[in-house]
Amino acid sequence: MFTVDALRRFTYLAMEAYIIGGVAVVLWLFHFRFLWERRWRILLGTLLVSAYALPLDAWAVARGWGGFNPAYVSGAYVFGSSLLLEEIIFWLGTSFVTISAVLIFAELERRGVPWWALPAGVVLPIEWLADSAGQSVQNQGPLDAGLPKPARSTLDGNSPSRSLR
Amino acid sequence: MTYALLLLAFGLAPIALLWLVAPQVVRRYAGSLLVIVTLILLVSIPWEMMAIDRIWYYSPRVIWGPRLFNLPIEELAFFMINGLLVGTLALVLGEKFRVHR
Repeated sequence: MFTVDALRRFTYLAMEAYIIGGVAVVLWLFHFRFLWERRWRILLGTLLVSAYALPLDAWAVARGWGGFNPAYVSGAYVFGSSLLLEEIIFWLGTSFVTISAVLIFAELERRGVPWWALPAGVVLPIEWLADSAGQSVQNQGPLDAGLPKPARSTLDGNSPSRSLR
Repeated sequence: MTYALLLLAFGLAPIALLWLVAPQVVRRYAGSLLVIVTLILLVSIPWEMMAIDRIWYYSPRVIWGPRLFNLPIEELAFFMINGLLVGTLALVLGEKFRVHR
């Protein structure tokens, strides 16, 4: 029998699903092929960050630096009573999303998209933004003369050596 | 040790190390780091404002006390430092493990 109190215990999990999960879905929906080609790098980075941060998280909670309101969390703890399930999801999820986004931004930046236009890369195709930036550069002259400009797409598997693959 | 010292030792120190190891990567993709940290703050501040002192809390003995948007300043620093650390790691991994076809 579900009660309001029982549902309230999923508040933190629901926030994570909505915010972290939502951003992850958007990034992967609009850039599936690009990110899939870099999946092992994303996985490695996610695991490295989580393996580094989770013991610190558990250590701080164990020492009483902070804690969680039992009314709003699942109550599922790992390694004794210090590491909350939601915290594991937080570190895995935020690392995954951050690394995915940074790889997209870096690819755009490498292809000449100005930094202020990078947020558009969350939902706009890399090719489209890069082409727009390329046309802008052609019209205005080279913004960063001396840096090599890739001659062709990196999405076709023939990426230049500077590609973040 | 306080939250600020923890961030200094386990957040800023590894960032400095990564920046020393791969300064050219950081320079080349500085815009990406700036944008990811800004986006993280835009998403995290409202989330954190809803949750702090309700879903989770910090002991007053480990935080300085000043707050911005009702958040301990260490928590804001955490989001920036975490974004920089994870972002830099992603860039360095991207450079070190790039595939040549």
